[in-house]
Amino acid sequence: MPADLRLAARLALPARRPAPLVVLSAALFLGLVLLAAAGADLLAPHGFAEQHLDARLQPPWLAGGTTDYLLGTDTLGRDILSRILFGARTSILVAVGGTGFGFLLGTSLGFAAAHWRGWCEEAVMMLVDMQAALPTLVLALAVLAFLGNSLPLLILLVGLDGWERYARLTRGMVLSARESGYVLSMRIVGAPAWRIHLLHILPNIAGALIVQATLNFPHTILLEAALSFFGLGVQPPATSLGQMLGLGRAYLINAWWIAVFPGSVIFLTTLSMCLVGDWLRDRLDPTLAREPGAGRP
Amino acid sequence: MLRFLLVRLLRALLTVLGCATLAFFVLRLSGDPLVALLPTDSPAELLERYRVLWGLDRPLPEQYLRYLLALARGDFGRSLVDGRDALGLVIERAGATLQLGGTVFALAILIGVPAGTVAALRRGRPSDYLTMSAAIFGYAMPNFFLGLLLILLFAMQLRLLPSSGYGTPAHLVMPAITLGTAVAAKLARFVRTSVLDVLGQPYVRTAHGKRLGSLAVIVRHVFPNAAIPVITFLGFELGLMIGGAVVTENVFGWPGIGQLLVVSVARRDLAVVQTVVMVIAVSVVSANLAVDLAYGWIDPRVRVAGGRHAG
Repeated sequence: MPADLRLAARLALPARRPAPLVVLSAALFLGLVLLAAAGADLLAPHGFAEQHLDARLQPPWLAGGTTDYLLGTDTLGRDILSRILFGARTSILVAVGGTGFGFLLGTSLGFAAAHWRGWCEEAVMMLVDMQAALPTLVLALAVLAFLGNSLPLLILLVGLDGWERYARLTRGMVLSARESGYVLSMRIVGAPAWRIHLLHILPNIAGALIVQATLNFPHTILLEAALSFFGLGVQPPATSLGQMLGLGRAYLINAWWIAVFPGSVIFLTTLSMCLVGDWLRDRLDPTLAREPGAGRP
Repeated sequence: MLRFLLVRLLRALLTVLGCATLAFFVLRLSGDPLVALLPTDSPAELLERYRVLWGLDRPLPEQYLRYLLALARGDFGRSLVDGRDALGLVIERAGATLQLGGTVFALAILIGVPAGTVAALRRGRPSDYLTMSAAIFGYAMPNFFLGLLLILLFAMQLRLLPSSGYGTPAHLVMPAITLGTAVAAKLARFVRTSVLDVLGQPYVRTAHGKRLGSLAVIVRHVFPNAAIPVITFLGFELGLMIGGAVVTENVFGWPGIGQLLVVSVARRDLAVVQTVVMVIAVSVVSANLAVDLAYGWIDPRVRVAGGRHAG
């Protein structure tokens, strides 16, 4: 595939074969989760913080419960299904916001490093090394516990996970794009650097960056879930899938449904995202898969 | 080679210094540890006495310089909770974490490398689809959820394994599976990509052309070349694995560094949190340094280029 085909053109190329059924169902599931999270207000049979103390620890409908609480209730009689819908909304909001932040930060720093070289490149690569040396979870645990938490802070911290991968990838690709024919000819006709970078190099490397974002998204969901699992993420009464899982952990013996349903939603979401991401990678950027250290497998 | 070594060493030191600085300022700027540590109704003079005792009354730059000087002497400070040496506390817990980490690494290599190689050699056949489907499941599974499911099945239903604790091999089984699944799955996917890449290289075709048996080609040509990116990957993976270990240790009550971190964070024990962060940063940086050096040793091209991000 010629390197200078725009992303849109590449996506519009007829597929060699249609997406496999697995990928289609994964995409369908992601769509459903998004819809359910967006329409939580309409779909949820109960409020997410609404307590029914007379209906505590109700089992799910098919395990001997009633249709009032399809997926059962927790220790305060809150409806698990409704909480999953609202929790998914928070989890997706944090993951999407975090991915967006990390993507912007990493891509801009990668461009800056490749454009200015010299000390700027050294400084960016230094930050990349530091980020790689400090697991985001460890850093986020410390910051959230000491700074107290708020949704924006949580999004920023979750976004820090993976920015160094975008930065590394962008820098490498921009450096190699600068040597290619189309950039050289742009430079010869006197195009300003920002124009070359934004309008010509960026569209060409966008495919690989989007693939990286897709592959990184599951990490982001898991990071948010892990932080909330420790009780350091979203604070009650607000809820997220990881927080539900963390709360349900203490009641595994007599009420497995509190932890198992939200956990399954997290797992199916990350699994679907991985399947779609893998397919996109093979489809959009066959070279990325072969570059060690670039697209994380 | 000496220049390459020095450049890498200097970069590693700078990275560790950067991490120390980051940890110091983030933790100092994020609130007064004494407020969390002492009862809320403590008299002001008591707070003041502790502040002086811990050096928290000095200006921030002075605290920072003192911290760096102490670090250079190997003094990581004392726990604000019980006054014990912070480094000693961390080292005490390191054994459990190393035991878990070592088991997980061995498990991941024993499962991931053969699975990835078989998948690559049988590309497009059922065994490839089967291993890679298993890998994507392991990759997408949140480790804390897998841990809870294992506890539910093996500890509560079947009553085969203890649900938490430390000491006997039986205690190690579930944490190792929980953490090892994800690492093995990632490794299998990575090995498959690397082996496929090498299989497409001209020298492998040449070796086949020379009528070398396929086993000989794999052992002599494919493995050594595919190993280079895999080693780099394992170095990078250490950081993520530590993040996973923090979660796993807390799910299973494993008395390692990860558990210490979560407990100390909850108690706002500044010195201990800082020491844990430093120990993690130093281990990841040393692992990457070792990988880089091994890489430079295996692949002469890296040495010449000065070794900027071999991976």
